[in-house]
Amino acid sequence: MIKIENLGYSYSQSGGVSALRRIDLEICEGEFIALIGPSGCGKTTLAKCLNGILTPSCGQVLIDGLNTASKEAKWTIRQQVGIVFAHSENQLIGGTVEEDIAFGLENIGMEPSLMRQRIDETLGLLSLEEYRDFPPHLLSDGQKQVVAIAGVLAFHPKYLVLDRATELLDPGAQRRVLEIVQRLNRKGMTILLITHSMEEIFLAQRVVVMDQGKKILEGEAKEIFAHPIVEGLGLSPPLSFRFITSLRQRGLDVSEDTMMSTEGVLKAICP
Amino acid sequence: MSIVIENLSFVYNEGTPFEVWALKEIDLRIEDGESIGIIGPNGSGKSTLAQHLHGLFKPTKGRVLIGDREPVGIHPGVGFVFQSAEDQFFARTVHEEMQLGYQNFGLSQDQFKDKALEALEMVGLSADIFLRSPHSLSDGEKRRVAVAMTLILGPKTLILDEPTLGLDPLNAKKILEGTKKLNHEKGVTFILISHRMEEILEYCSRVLVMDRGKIIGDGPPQDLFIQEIETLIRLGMEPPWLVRFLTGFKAKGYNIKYKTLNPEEISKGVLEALQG
Repeated sequence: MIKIENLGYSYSQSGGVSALRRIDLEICEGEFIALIGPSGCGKTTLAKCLNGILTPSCGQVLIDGLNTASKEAKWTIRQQVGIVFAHSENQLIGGTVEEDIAFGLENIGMEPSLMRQRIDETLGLLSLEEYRDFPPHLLSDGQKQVVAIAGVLAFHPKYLVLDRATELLDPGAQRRVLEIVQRLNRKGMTILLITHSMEEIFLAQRVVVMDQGKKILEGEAKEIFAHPIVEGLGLSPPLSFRFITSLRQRGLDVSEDTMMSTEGVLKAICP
Repeated sequence: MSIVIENLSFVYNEGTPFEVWALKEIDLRIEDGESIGIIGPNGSGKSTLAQHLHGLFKPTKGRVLIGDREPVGIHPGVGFVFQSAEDQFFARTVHEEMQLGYQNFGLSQDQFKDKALEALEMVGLSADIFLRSPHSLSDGEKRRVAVAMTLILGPKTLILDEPTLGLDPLNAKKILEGTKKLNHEKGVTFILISHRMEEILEYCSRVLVMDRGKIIGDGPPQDLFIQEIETLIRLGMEPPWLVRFLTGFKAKGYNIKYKTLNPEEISKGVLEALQG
């Protein structure tokens, strides 16, 4: 479990504007959580606090009881909490895609045969086999980002944090990566999806909304949009949600849980 | 100021092993005041085509007429906001940054400040941003300043290359609503390159679909997205949810009437169709 208690963070030592203010949040094992909010509200700062990249200015973050502020615990925490950032592709360093994925695993001293197995499995999962021996710098930005995602998934993290990680991908690739994430979640991986896409939040069981460093709202996606504060942040519901709400108002029996799937809605309304 | 393209082809790295024909025999006419979306997979030629619409690129074959003339260098009447244009910021203040572009076009400094504030306002930024460092702004504010830097030049045609990539919904909306307003109220031709088909649906009345250097579709987005849904999916694009729904609904034997792809209008049509 991830336990965030009274978390505060300020980028300036002299205590300027706080990027995070008194955040309390618990993320249970196997949950799928979406985190949204306007630019600069503190989403990425929060992500960086989850594996000890940033140490809280006040409060604490506990990963399965281990405190991210503890130097000794960081080694373990970073293998448990995998984070992919929006521009992780800038961090690729391997001479080939395969070497790049191997880099992190080598760093933790993984045994070579297990490493080989993990690389093969991850290349297969993300359909990257044909690029195995390809130099990453010759890939498109979107493909590079998929390699960055592969590098994190190869760790088999218990907790996966995607900080706008699919933004650079073209729409088809975006959908494929999210399908993989959903599959991993069903197998027990805990997911924190930070996104600007109001369609994607319907994949999550719980949505957390942040503004100006604070957690201001928490609930299921369909409940979030009923709240007036959300509109003010420019977070309007996706057209699909408005459509389903409108069908329900006209008396058609469509569950809001069929969101994201046109097939689900068609099945519900067509005799 | 209409833009006419006749038999345009463009090749990168001609005569080398890396030669690529990015555009192949394109014919296109853009009328004054149109709002056009350009979509297509990566590498289909969208940006290369756009570069020809303001004279940065010279055709390898064929010709481009901007307002009846072939442009010599960059046409001053066409504003182009490049992808992630804010990456090139280097001045100490937003004021200096905006002034540089303005000076480069040889425009009079007398009205600079009024015009700059007006341009910033169009994308929802207030005057207090003027003296801040462009590097201290949020991603969304930076992008909006980059758009304002083009708007200050008073373009007759505005080209935006993926202007909302990576932005949160509020910043994205401010850019699109602000620039679209220029199209509505002042008749500025609006050209939007985007992977987000919902944006095209909302802000454009005509869409061009590109694939491997050719325009393979041209029409109103609400019709074309439905007619060409299979092609769009084959090209790796993600048609809007309502378009996918309507295609499935039609496959089940229901036809509905609608003017716009508006969720409330479609849901009314669905109910009527179901009741026969």
